[in-house]
Amino acid sequence: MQIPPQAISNQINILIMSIKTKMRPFRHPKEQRLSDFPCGKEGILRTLPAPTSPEVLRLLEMGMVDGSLIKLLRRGPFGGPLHVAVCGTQLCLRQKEAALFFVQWID
Amino acid sequence: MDTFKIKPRVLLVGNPNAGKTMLFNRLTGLKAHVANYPGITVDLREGNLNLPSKNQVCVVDLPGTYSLYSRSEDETVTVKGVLGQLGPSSISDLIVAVVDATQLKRNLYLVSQLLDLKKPLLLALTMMDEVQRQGIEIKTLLLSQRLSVPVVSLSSVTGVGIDALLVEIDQWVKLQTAQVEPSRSTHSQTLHKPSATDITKRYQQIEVWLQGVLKNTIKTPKKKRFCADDILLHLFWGPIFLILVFAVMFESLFLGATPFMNGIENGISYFSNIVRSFFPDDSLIGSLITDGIISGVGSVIVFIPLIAILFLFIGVLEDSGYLARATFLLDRFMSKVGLSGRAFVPLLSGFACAVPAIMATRVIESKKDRFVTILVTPLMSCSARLPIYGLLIAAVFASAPPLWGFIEIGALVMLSMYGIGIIAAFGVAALLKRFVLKGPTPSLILELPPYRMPRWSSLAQNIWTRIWLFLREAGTVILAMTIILWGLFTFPRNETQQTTKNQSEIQAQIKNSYAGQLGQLIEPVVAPLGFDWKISVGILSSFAAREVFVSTLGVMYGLGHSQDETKMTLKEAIQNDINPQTGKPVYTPLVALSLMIFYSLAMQCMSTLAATKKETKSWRWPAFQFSYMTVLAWLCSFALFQAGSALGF
Repeated sequence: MQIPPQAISNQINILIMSIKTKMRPFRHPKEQRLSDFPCGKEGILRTLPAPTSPEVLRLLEMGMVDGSLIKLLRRGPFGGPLHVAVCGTQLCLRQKEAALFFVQWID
Repeated sequence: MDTFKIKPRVLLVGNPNAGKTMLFNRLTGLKAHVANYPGITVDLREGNLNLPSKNQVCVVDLPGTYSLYSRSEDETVTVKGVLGQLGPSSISDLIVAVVDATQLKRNLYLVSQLLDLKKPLLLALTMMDEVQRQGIEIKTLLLSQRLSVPVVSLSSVTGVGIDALLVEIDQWVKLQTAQVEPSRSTHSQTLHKPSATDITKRYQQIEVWLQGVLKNTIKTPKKKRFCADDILLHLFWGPIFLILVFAVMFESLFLGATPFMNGIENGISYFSNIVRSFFPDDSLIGSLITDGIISGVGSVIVFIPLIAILFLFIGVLEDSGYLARATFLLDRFMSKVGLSGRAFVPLLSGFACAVPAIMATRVIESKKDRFVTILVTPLMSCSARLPIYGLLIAAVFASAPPLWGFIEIGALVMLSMYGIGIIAAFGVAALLKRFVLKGPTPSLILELPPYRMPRWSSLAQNIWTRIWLFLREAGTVILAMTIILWGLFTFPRNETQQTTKNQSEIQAQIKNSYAGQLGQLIEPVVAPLGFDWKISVGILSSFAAREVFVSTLGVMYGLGHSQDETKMTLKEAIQNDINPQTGKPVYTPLVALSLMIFYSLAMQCMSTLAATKKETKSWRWPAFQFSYMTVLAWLCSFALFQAGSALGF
């Protein structure tokens, strides 16, 4: 089986990003990827220090900035996109993009 | 002389779905298409506005954008417009930032970028009626002081606040006439790719601006109220509801339109008989008018009720905000084939017409993904295919008893025709993405707009525009084609036995006409699909436009009846057409299905090819689109007809 190079570079990107997040000194113990966050919960959005992907930049510009309150409303059927409420609006984004954001639990 | 000076421009800039086009329609009195979905406007639109002071300005509606750092073609148009790179440079621009007041924070991000440009700026807070309903008060004066630009709050729906906006624009125009040199300094900073810290800083600034501006007048905290999305986007009920919506749409398309269509059909044949009686039996002019123009154009006009109902449904889906939810529900399939989530709207507008749908692909950021969408969009069954489906279903399947008592077979057949188009579009997209236009799976970043009640006046307006377009096509392309076809079917004329013509002689005459000869020339190519020479002529003629197929049959059967009998409707003529060799009807259910599949997949639209050429800026892609679709259509019809014949249908 041949693995497409895109998938490999994606994985490497995610790995690098997760290392970067681990190096962050103030990392909250209850911090999770947005893509793994439970439905119906609210949390504080944490972005990676240096987002490079244009999708992340677009989401940042649409109000998904570090420190804002985010609520994961639901996931789409058949492993579909995520429906979130952030910055006074409702957005939907695919799992792949959601994996590039972190959410800090509110106790 | 100042009177000949170029009019100053007012640019409407704002986030997608902020209501720019609705405000534009309000200001100019024009009727541009609006919908409750981000990214409906993909190109700039201009209109004139008469100010209270008798001055006139040009209002420009620009495509929506979240940022001045543009990624897709529609956003590039906006950025160019804002920087004054569109049109002659001597015009002075006023930027009206259209801000959705229900989402002030997010909308102010673009405003903060616009402020950096140091150009004349004016803030228009729209959707104030919704803000008031939510019990929120916005202190516009405070906001205006903080941003040091004028702020006007208005509602394009009710018209409140429009006058205040006009006064503000007027003041700017007066200032312009006093000022000699318009300031056109370009601040390039915002056009670079913004960094994350830059974005965060801007949002922090917005927080400062908004402090004390928003005031919630409802004191008690809101309890979690019933939310429509809980059902409509539910893991299980969401898809069920989506299927139900489309089922109702097709059932009503079929049941609701039939009585109106029968009415128009009877009216046309009554009219035709009256006109006929004014001419002697053998007059060529009489034949041209009744058998040619009235049967040809009339047979297409019959389908107006179908078109109206289709656009009623599309309009309700767009205006209510459900369209974005449908994107959410179906996105998994789109991402599986590698289509951009933003391809959903172009594909859906493909149900109306592929030409605007191909233009709507401008919202897709990646060029490759955009091309994939352009190439597969014409596979979606457009409204020009409706007359063909409608005619064949009415002629062949209408007498079948409903399935389980309530599902019309005709509606089911029509639904499956649309289904075949969708499956083909997705299949071809997956193949193209895998082998031709390779690239990573694109993203979906979509704002879900709030649910809104459709506005019936604009809905009626939109339906009327569509009907008018359809009528105009019937009056131009189809009229010209029917006259040509009438000529091709009538000549060479068999002059020897003019007086007593019986049915078989008339048939022989048509078969020997130029069109008949042409049809028989093509027949071997389409015979494996179950089509005879008459259908071949129809297929050939529909390369001008798909509806021409119906008018071709109209002309052919119009000429084909003997003069003494009363005129049959086209539907009856099709039902009574007998194959002389076998003695069986020409239009069996299998032939009808094969023909409909051919029409659902074949590329028979010059305007679509022209649109593809325009958007891809190359002849290669339209040529490829034409060939793959025609081959696909032939193969699918061939497979169906041969399999069906082998099984004995």
